[in-house]
Amino acid sequence: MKIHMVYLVHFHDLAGKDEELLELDIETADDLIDYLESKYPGMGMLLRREDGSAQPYNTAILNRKGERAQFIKDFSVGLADGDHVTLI
Amino acid sequence: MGSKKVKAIAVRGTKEIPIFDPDAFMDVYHDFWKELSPNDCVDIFHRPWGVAGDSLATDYIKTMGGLAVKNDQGFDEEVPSFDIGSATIRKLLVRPMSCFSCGLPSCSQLIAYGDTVLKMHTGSIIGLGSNFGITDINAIMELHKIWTELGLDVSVSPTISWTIEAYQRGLITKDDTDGLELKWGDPQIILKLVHKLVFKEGQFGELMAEGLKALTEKYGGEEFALHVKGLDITLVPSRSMYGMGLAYAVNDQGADHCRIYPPYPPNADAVPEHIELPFDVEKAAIRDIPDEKAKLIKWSFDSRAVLNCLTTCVFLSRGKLFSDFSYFARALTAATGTEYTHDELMKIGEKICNLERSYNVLNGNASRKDDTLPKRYLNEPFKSGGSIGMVVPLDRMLDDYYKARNWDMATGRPTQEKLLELGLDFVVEDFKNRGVWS
Repeated sequence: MKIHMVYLVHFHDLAGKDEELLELDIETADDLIDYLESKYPGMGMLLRREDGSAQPYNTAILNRKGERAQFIKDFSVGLADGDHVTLI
Repeated sequence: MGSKKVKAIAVRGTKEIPIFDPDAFMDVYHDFWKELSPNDCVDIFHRPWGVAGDSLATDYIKTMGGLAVKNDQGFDEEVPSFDIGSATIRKLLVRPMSCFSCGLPSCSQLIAYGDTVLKMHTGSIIGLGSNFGITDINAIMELHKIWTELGLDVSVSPTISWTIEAYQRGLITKDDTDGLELKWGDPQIILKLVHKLVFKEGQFGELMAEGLKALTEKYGGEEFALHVKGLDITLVPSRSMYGMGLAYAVNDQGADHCRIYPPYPPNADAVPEHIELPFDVEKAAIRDIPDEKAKLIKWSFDSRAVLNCLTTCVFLSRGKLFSDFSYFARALTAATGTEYTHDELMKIGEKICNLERSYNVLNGNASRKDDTLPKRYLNEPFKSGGSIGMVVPLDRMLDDYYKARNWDMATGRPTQEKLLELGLDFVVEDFKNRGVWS
């Protein structure tokens, strides 16, 4: 699936870019975070605590066409082709 | 002050301000700093804001689908996307800027523009950008520079954007605008309109200078006039966050978001165990349901009233400081020698809000019919974007709010019972003498 990523502030500093289009074989936000951690070491930890819960300091927002934007608090949420994920 | 041509009042004293207990005061001062440390402060905005500054709010608003586009008509997928946000501002950054001794390293940002610097913030990006259909950062910066030189607040934006929409709808014509053809996305037209407004050029300029209420009384178009109680909306989205919509509607000043800032509940992880909030934090945080918003907004008004009295910046009420006012109580106690507690401060805040409402009641500007929103926010849902389908369910939230306040459901006026509970006996007498409850 294709996921459009937007990186802001600390996430931008880690990724070295404002945004990118990822083409991944994943299912959930957890999978995405695992991928991001492998690509940009440290990024996963900005989002997810060791127990798997969301870090309270940072935000991941999911935008999907035709649906309302939502904060991703539970990373078991499924992702779909064409999703936009903004990391602040 | 504007009508008297007064720009500012500077005062210089020669005496010291005595602190009752300087050691205790410094202890709590250090505790404030500790709570605001980026590593300790549990708040989704504090840490990134300390790096990227206020322009970050544009990113949130855009992502959540609430960006004001062309008089806040909502997302417009037919025009180039509005890409300006904190990333743009960071590329232009000269240095971050905060007030003296502030705990936030970067509140706003000084950015380079030609041979000068501009203090940029979200209000300018949205108010002078997307709300006019302008997507070029250089145009926004030019408008911002001129706006600042003219001493204008960005909340003039809805007056200008209303004018353009009214022209597009045929409510006003070139005859009214002295031949000026109004369209979106043209900074030169914005400048000409601003000039008319500031210097009251011609009849139309004079009317613009009186604001949206005066304009709509003459031309109609009230349904897309973005003001509450005569004060132009500051463009923090209310359709995207129902609590914000309620706050705008019931604010006795009119549409000023700063009165309840931050416009969301505290992070549940940051609320100390000994603090019992009068609302369900989890539900209050869900932006597109009306549940718990009334209790949240009542609490927000009451608690921010305290901070305003303490002349404390509401931007720093974060982490534990968002909900636990014992820090402020300790500071006030140490400064004055009079004992204060968290509960007492919250009661004072409630008293302030009831006094404000009572003043407005006596001046004829506080009733259920005044506690409303532009019809756009009540009847025009977003057709696309992150807030698709959202309009403010105001009636339900208004009922909940008056109930939470113990104000009369039909009129929105404080009840005698509430005023007496708060020790505002003199207001009760005043109301009786003037027949408020008759």
